[in-house]
Amino acid sequence: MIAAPFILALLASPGPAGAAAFVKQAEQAYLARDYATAEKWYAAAINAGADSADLEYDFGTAAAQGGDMGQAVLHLERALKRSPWDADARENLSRIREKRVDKVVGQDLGDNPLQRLLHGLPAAGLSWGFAILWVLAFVLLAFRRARGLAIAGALIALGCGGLAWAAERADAIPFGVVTAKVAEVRAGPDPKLPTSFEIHEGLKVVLEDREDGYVRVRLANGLEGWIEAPLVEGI
Amino acid sequence: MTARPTLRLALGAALLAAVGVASHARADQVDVTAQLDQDVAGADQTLTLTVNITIHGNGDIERLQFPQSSHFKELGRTQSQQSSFSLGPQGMDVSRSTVYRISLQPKDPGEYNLTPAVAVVGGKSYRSGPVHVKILAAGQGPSPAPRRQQGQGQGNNPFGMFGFPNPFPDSPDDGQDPFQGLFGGGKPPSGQDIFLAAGLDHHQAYLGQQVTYSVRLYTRVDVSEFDGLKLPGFDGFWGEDLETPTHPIPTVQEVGGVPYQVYLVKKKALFPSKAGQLTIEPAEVDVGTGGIFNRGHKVHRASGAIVLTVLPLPAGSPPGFSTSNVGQWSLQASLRPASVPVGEPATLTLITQGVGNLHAVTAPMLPPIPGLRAYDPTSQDKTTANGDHFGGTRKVEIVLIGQRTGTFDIPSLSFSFFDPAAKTYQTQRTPPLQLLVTAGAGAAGEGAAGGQNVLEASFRPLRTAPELSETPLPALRGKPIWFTLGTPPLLLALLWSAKELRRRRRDSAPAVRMRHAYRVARKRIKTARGLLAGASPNQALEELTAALVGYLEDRAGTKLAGLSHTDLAERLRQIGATDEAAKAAVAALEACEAHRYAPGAGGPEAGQDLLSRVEWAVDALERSEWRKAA
Repeated sequence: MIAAPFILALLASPGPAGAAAFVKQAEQAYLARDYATAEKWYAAAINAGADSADLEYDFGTAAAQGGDMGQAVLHLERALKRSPWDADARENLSRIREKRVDKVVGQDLGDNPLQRLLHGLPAAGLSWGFAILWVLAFVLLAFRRARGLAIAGALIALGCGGLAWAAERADAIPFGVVTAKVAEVRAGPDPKLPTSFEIHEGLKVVLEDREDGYVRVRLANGLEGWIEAPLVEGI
Repeated sequence: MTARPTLRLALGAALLAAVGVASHARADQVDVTAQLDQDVAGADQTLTLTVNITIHGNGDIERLQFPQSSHFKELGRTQSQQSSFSLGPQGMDVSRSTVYRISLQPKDPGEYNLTPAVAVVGGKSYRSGPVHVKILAAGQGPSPAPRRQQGQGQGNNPFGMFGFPNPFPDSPDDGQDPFQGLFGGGKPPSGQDIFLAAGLDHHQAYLGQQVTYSVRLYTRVDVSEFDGLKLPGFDGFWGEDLETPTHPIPTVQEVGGVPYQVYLVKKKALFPSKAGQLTIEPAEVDVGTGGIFNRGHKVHRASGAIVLTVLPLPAGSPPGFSTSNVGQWSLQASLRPASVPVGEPATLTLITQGVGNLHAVTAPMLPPIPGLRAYDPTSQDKTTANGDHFGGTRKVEIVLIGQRTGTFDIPSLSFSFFDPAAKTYQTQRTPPLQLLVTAGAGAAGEGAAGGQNVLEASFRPLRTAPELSETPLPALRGKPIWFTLGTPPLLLALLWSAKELRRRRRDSAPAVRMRHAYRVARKRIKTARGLLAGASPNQALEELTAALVGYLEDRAGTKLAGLSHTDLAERLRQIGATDEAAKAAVAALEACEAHRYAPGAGGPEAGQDLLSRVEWAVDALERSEWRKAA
C-alpha cells in the first residue's frame, strides 16, 4: 500500500515538470522525519527525469538521516560529480565516513588532493576556453598583431586544454558505491569461490570489470575482488 | 693475588629447615648426601659441609635435619636450588636439587662423627651416610693457610680495576709467590672463589604481588670486570627494572665463615601473572679477574634456578575488581575548573598512586553523564623504584565539555585492589564532584533563555527549492577538439605559405622580364612586320616602339620615362651594352619618336626603315654581355 504511490509515479513518468511534485512530497516526508519515504520520492523525481546536483544532494542527505548509508554516499557522490565544490555534500560525506563500517587503510578513493583538484576543475569550461584562446592566438599571429600576446595566448590555451583533458580523465574513472548492507568479495566471478573479505554499505570502490553478473571492485588500499553486480551502483 | 679457600676449624650446629609447601605428589626417588670438604683439618680451619637433596619427581622437602655435632660451631649457611627436566621412557622426568653449604668451625681437636642428614619427602625419611672428620690441633692442619680477616677496606688494592676494591684488603701473605698475582695469571678461580647467586625476597607470593629478584656476584678474588649478563626470560612474570649498577660498589658478606665481596649485578621487580609453580631460569655472567699487571682469567658463572610458588588471589573480590590491581594504592580525583561556560572544557583528573605494578593497574572509568561530553582519557604514568618497591603514579585526565547549562554530578569513582601485605581486598573511593556549566559570554542571561545548548555538528540540511534540471555546458571532446586544435595552425601555415610564394614571385619579376625581353621584342617586331605588310603602318610603328621601349626597360630594369637619350645610352653601357649597341638603341628610339610625332612621314619605306633600325638595335643589344641591372 505504501509503495503504491511510488509505483504509480514511476508508471506515470510525468517528466521533469512532474518531478517537482515528487520533490515536494519528499521534502514533506523529510520534515516529518520519514526519511525512507523521502528517499522513495526523491528516487521517483529522478526517474521522472529530474537531474541536478541539488536533487542528488537532497536525496543523499535524506538517506544519510535515515541511516541508509549506501544510498547516502551514492547520491552525495553524484552531487559532487555534478558540482565538485559543493561543500555541503562534502561535509555530509565526511560525517557518513565516520560511521562507516569499513575502515580502509589509506585515503578514500578520489580523495587525495590532486584528485580532488582535478574533479573540481570545470572540464567543459576549460575545453571551451582552450578553443577560444587557441583560435584567437592564431588570428593574432595571422594578422601579425601582438605577436607576444598571441604566443602567450596559445600557451595558456594549451594549458587549459591539458587541464581539461586531465579533468576528463579523472571524471572518467568508474567509481561505484556499495549499496548493500554487506557484500562478500570473492576471488572471482563465481559464487562457489571462497569469500576473500567483506565490504559494507557506503564504501566507495572502483568498478574495474564486469563478468557473469559480477563486478570486479578495487578498494582504496588496492584490495580487489568480485562482488555481485546488484550490490554496487556506479556513481 | 688469587686466594685459595681459607679454612678454619669450627664446630657446626644442626638446624631444622622446612622448605616448600606441603607435598601432594609422590616422590619417585630421593637422594640425600652429606660430606665435608676435608676429612682432616686443623682446629683453626673452617670446614664446609655440603648437604645435597635431589628429588626425582614432584615431591617437596617437608622436613630436613642437618648433620649434627656439638664439637662444631656453625658460621654460616647458603642454599641453592636447581631443576632439570629430561624426557625419559616414562615421559618427562623432573629432578630438583637443593644444596646447602654450611661453614663449620671445629671447637676441639679429635675424631668426630656427624649424624646423617635426614630429609622427609612425601612422608618418608631419607638419610645420608655418616660424616667422619679428624680435627688436629691448631696449626697442624694439612692446609696451614692463615685465615683472612673479615672487613671492607680500600687501601691494599692498587691494581684493582674499574673501581672494584680489594675484597681482602688486610690479607697477609699466604706463602705463595707474592708476584704471582701481579704478573701471572695463576690458577683459574674456582667455583668457590667466584659464584653468581640469584634470589627472590619471597618464595611464595600472590598473583600480581611484587617479588624482588636480584643477581649478585660473590667473589673472594680480584675482579676486574663482569659483562655479558644474561638474564632469564621470566616467563609468567611482568618485570620492571629496579637497579642496574653502572659502577658497582661491593659489600662484604661472610659466607660459610668466609668473607666475600658481593656485587649487585641486577635487581628487578617481578609480578607473577599466573598462579602455580613458576621457575626462573639461571642468570649467567662473564667475570674477568686480575689487576693491571695480572692478566687474570675470564670465567663464566651461572646462578641456580629459582622456583616461586604463586598463589591465586583469594575469594571475595569486590564487584568490578580487576585481577591486575594488586599492591597498595590510593585514588584521588579533582576537577578543574569547577565552573565553566557552555562549550568550554573542564578537566577531571584521577591520580592513582602507590606500590605495585603500575603499568597493569586498571583505573576506574567515568560513566556517561547526560549533558556532558567526555573525551577519551589521556593517561600518564610516572614510575618510581623506592628501594625494593616498584610503584608510581598514574595520572588520568578526562576533558569534559558541558553541552548545556546546569549543575552536573560526577559520581564517586571506586578503585578496588588486593593488598598482599594485609591479604585483604580494599576499595578506594573518590568523593562526588560537581561541575557547574554556566551560560557562555554571548548569552543574554542565564535565566533569560533558559540556558544554552551546544549543538553538535550533524548532517547539513536539505536545500530549499532545489534545481531539478541543469543544462551543463557540454565539453569539447573528440573530433571537435581535434578540429579546433589542428585548424588554426594549418590555416596559418597556408597563409604564410601563400605570402611567401607571392613575395618570391614579386622578387623574381625583373629577372624574368630580362630573361624574356628579347623573345617578347622579337615577337612584337614580327607582329609589326605583319602590320606593315597588312597596310597598317601606324599600328606597326606603335608596335615597333613598344618592342624597343619594352626591351630597353626590361634590360635596363627601369622605366625610360624621365631618362634623356644620353642617360639612356650611359645606363645601357653601365649594364654591359656595347657602345655601338647603345648608340643603335638611342638612334632607333629617336626614329620611333620621330615617327610618333610625325606619323606617315616618309611613306611605307619609312616604316620598313624603322623596323630595320629597331631590329638591328635589339639584335645588337642582345649580343652584348649584360650585367645585372643595378
